Amino acid sequence: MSLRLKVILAAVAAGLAAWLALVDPVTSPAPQCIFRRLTGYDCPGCGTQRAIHAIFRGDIASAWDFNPALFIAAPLIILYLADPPRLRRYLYSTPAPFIIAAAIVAWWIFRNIFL
Amino acid sequence: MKIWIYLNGVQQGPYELAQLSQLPLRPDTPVWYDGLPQWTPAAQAPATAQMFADAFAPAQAFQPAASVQQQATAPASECAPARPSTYFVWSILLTLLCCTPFSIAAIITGAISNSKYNSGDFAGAQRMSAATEWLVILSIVFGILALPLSLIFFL
Repeated sequence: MSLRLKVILAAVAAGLAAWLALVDPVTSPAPQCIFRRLTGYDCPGCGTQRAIHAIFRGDIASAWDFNPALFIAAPLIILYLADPPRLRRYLYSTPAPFIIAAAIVAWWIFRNIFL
Repeated sequence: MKIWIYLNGVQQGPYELAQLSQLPLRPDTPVWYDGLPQWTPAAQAPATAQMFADAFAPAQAFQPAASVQQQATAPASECAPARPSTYFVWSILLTLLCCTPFSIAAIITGAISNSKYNSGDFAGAQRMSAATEWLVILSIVFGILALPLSLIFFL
């Protein structure tokens, strides 16, 4: 990935974060999950915007309620970004990404039945 | 005998010869033990060649190292091509933020690419990596297209 693309992506991410820090997605117009709009069910990522906004408010408990998957996915994404050589054999082991995919689908089903 | 192998993109070992049979060793997996001048495909190293005695082995002459010192400093890097990108960060982020069917498909194709690389199918890994890249692009396009739609619904 070129440096220019990285700078653009970082700027977009910072802009989105600033937007979510300032605006409460519950009370103001914000992008909504199409899957939820059409079916009424939560997708695995539903609640992430509200959770990020809650974190900016310092309300970790509500953030966990909105989408606990964020708290598991964020360290995982940081691990894959940092790519420490010591953990490479686990992060890039054959089952690891399949387990991640299965966990996402399991979370999708679980949250719609039990939560 | 202590044997090191280069598997999953990392150097692993030392293993005993008996342990190697439990590992996903392929004929072209680079191995090294004291006595070999350089990293050598498992099927061509005398100690491990018997593991692949039944498999078809290309008639490739054992070539002594042109420059042993150079091999010793950077041994494994020349043995296997770099792992093609699996786009895990992209596909996990997109699943969490946009939630499109494409992003979940991208995690799975990335996982297949990763699996193919680990088993030594470098060309297959490259193909699945390219497919993953397209799925990530599709996810982003889908996410951007869905944005105005969801805002219209909100009003």
